[in-house]
Amino acid sequence: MGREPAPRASGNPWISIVIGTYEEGLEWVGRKAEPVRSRLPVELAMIQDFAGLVEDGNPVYWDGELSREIWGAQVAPAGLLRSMFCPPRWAPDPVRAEPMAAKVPLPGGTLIGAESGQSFRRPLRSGDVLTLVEEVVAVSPEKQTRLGPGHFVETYTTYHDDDGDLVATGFGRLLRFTPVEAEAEAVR
Amino acid sequence: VSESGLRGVDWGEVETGVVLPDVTLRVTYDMVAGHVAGTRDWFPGHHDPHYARDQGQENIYGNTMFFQGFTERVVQQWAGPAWFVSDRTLRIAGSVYPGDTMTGSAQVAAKAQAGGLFTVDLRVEVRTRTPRPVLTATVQLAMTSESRAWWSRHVREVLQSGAEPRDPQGVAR
Repeated sequence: MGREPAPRASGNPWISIVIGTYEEGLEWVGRKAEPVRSRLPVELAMIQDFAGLVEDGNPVYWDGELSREIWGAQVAPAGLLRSMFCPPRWAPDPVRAEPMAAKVPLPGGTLIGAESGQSFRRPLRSGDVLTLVEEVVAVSPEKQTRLGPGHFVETYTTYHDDDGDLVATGFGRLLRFTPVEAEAEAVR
Repeated sequence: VSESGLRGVDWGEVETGVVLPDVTLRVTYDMVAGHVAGTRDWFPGHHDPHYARDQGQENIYGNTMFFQGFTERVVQQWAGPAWFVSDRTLRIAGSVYPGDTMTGSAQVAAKAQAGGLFTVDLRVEVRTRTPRPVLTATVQLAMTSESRAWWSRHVREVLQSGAEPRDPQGVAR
């Protein structure tokens, strides 16, 4: 009440956040989104870009022969999983990549990741094309956080390869919040 | 294994309680921006300082995949190439900004053998400028029977070649 809505990303079509009430948000618990298949396979340039960003010298990312010797394939960092589903910045067919937590109607006009968990049955491999299904499993009552008041949205995700085998499962806990700058400054 | 061999450990020699060498990483603008491009995560808080400040952040901040990648590096740099991440949970308590230095520390919490996997659970903490971690994580690394057999062969070959025997826990050199 009396709070200005949080600013939207200006001119950025990539994400749109649905505003609503907590009661409307609760109706989303148990909803599953349509399956999403990754547009591109995991490949070596992604693997080395990703490893290079944290200066990860794990030789299986830099020596394909060694990776195939140990794992029978070019393996990829686990951290690439989620980015497989992020589209290019622009594409002729408009694509969006909102996490499901953005689509749940809630008062908070912006979001931030709070917790993220993933379990893998096997390492990700070059050539993997995966399909995810995301489900909202919980929406919390309003909580006061260091960034401002908001609701935590929990989702559960499965990732299957094109053979139909389960490769990974994940859960995410994102905060949908209304920023309170002064409060955030004081706590940090 | 060092010198002519790869660095790493075998499941059999890992002991609960072992502290891994710390890993530090200076966070630069190109790294935060690089994660935006490298993971195609165009959420504006990671590249638009105005949006980030409106969110109550002091600047653009590293994305979740940045934390995932760094956490994996902290544990795999010690464990070696014959392990994969079989489970990982991150609890994000703060943000990482350009100019920060991240220090990742980790300790072995448990080991187990189940379902054909040889696993080790590690607790990881990442700090920047405050004593409170910006990130706490649990990571489970796993060797398969095949990757473990490969590692044994590798160690045997290196030892036969006359290289220095390695530190059995693989701890900081």
